[in-house]
Amino acid sequence: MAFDLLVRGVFSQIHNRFRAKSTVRRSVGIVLSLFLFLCYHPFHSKAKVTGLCSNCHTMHASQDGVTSPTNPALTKVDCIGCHSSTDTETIKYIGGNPGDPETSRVPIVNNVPEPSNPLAGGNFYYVKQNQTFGHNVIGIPDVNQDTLLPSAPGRPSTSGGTGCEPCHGKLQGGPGEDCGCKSCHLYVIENKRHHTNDDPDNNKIVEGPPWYRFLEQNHNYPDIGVHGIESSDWEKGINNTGYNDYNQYKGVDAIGSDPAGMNDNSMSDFCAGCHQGFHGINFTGGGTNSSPWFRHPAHIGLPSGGEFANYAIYDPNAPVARKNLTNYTTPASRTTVSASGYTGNDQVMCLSCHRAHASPYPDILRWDYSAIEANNGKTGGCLICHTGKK
Amino acid sequence: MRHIRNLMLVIMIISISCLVIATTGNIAMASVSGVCSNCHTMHDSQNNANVGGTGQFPALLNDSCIGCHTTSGSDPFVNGTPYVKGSSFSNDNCLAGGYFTDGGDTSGHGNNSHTLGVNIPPAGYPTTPTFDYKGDDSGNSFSCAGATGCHGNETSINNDAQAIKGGHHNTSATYRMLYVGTIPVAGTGCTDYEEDLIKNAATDTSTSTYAHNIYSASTNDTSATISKLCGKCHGNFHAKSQTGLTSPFTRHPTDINIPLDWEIVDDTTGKPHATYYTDSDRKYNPLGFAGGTSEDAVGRATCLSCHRAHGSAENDILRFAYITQTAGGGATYGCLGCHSKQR
Repeated sequence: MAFDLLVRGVFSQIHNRFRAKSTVRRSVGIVLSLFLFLCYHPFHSKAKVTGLCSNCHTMHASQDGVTSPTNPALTKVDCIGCHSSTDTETIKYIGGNPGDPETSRVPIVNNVPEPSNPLAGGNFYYVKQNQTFGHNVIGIPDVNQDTLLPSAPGRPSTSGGTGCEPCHGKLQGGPGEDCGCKSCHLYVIENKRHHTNDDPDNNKIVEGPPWYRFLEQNHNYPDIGVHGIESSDWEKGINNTGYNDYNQYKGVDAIGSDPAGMNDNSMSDFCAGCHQGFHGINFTGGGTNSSPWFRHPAHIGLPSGGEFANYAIYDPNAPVARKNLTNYTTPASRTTVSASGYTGNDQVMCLSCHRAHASPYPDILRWDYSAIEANNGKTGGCLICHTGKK
Repeated sequence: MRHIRNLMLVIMIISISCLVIATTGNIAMASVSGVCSNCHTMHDSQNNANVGGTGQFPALLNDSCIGCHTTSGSDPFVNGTPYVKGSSFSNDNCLAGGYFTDGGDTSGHGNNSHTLGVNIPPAGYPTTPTFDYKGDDSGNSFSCAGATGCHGNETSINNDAQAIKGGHHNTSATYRMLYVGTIPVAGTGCTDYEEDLIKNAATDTSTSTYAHNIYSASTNDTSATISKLCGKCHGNFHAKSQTGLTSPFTRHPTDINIPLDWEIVDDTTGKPHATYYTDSDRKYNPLGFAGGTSEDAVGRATCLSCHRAHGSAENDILRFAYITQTAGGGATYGCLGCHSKQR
């Protein structure tokens, strides 16, 4: 642990010191970065893409006299084209072998067969099996307009006009358009994307552009985005014994701040861009902003005492958001949960129950809601937090 | 009688030209100097044999364009003659325009040279062309100059020599005898065609040491820039309608300013950075500038920022091997010469 922190601190200092343009920076920075890289985790993950330019880009969409469809940022394919796979693997390596400098590492969110180890955001494979299992992002092959939901559930108002509907009410972008994947991963339409180090302080807390998973919160205020800490393998290895490299999400309690939970860098507020009626406490508290709730609250700390006190070991099937991310920069620090009241550190968020892309269960849940039974000796799902109903 | 008079007139003009050339010395531009017989033969007959290449050549030349500009040696620049094809030419031993090859690029694709004599539409050729390239429909194959080539007047002339007529002997010649239509392409050629720069500039050198060309670039579509000339055949790779107007682009743009926050240019002025625009950049990823006369101007991307004109050792006539450009790999030339954030 001490060595880990030491390396991070030294690397941070070096990184900041040599941010200015300098030939010295080039050479010294490369040498020291290489040294630290080798000393530290050899294949440490970060969202800043590395590898051959030609892995992902084509300059003119033309090769050997054959043209190909053009895509923004000169990419060979669109978002889903790159992040899809025809096999069951959920992390792909392009351009070479894993760990080689020319190799690019790509998280897969859309497998043709059922994925062997879906990543933390889930996998669009499932929404193709059942429209209730995922976000139906139009533009993903075989994903169609939802026949049950004409617009995003929980979207409380259409006052923004029809111009807001394509992104805030639907996910209707086609390949290369702005309101498919980019409805959520908004920052990818800005000027800095996969090549911007989303770990600007080298402490693994992403709290600046391009934001956690490129999740920019408000397109009118591009300086606001989701904070978080990224799992080095996007939780692919979550079923491995001893695994603890969990994503960590920013939480802000709506009790101590804005009851609507707006623009506060939290994961839940981001979801509220389309599902605001399910978020904060204004829409869930029935006027009392306390239990008994009218809708399940998000953006609120786990109540202290009672059944919640028994949720002490972090369960990735019911992850909590953290108000203060600074204590969770190492995987080992992410294994505990503390239920300390509505304004406490560990927060209920949308992703406590749901996945982002798609899951094997209705309503994109992390578990089968219809199989959760109270007081019948069952575990998991709702009962991870609501331990008194086991 | 009139024929004899005309012949005398031609001989007189040629003689006077030779005298002028002989007295003006080695002008380091496209203006050729030296003995007339180095290049010309009056009757293509000497010692009862033809002179130079097979057949007669326009302008009483000894040989064709490529014939004169090919050497059996390995030096691309000998006694003022630039060679565009030769022996042992390489990325580090050629002139600024590169060199014609017979295939054999480092990636094995074989498309590392513009191919003279072909009669197929070039890559990026628009379906509704607005220019005079006729190599795909007129039967006139791709050539050095004229309507189906790059050099000289390209409006209607399919004869190489006629298209560049006067170019070799005009001290105020246009940059490399390049035109967009009838408008000369802006640019400044250096005296040694960058032979020293190419031989000596390592992948990361300090500020300017070697002579170098200055390429033109303009955000104004009406300017005759070097990229616009390329765009006459490869229009889909140049037209803003095909590349996009702003980032994220759909094809790599040209004739566009380098963003201010990229290392290669000054943060404030957009001009080449005093320290970080190096001879390495001039070799592997040179910028273009308005007017093509000075680097004291906003730096812009051009076709020649990535490609050489004639050929290179690399696929797609690139100045560098695209397949070695690795994000995060730390290289500072080629793609990463400009795209410093991806190093």
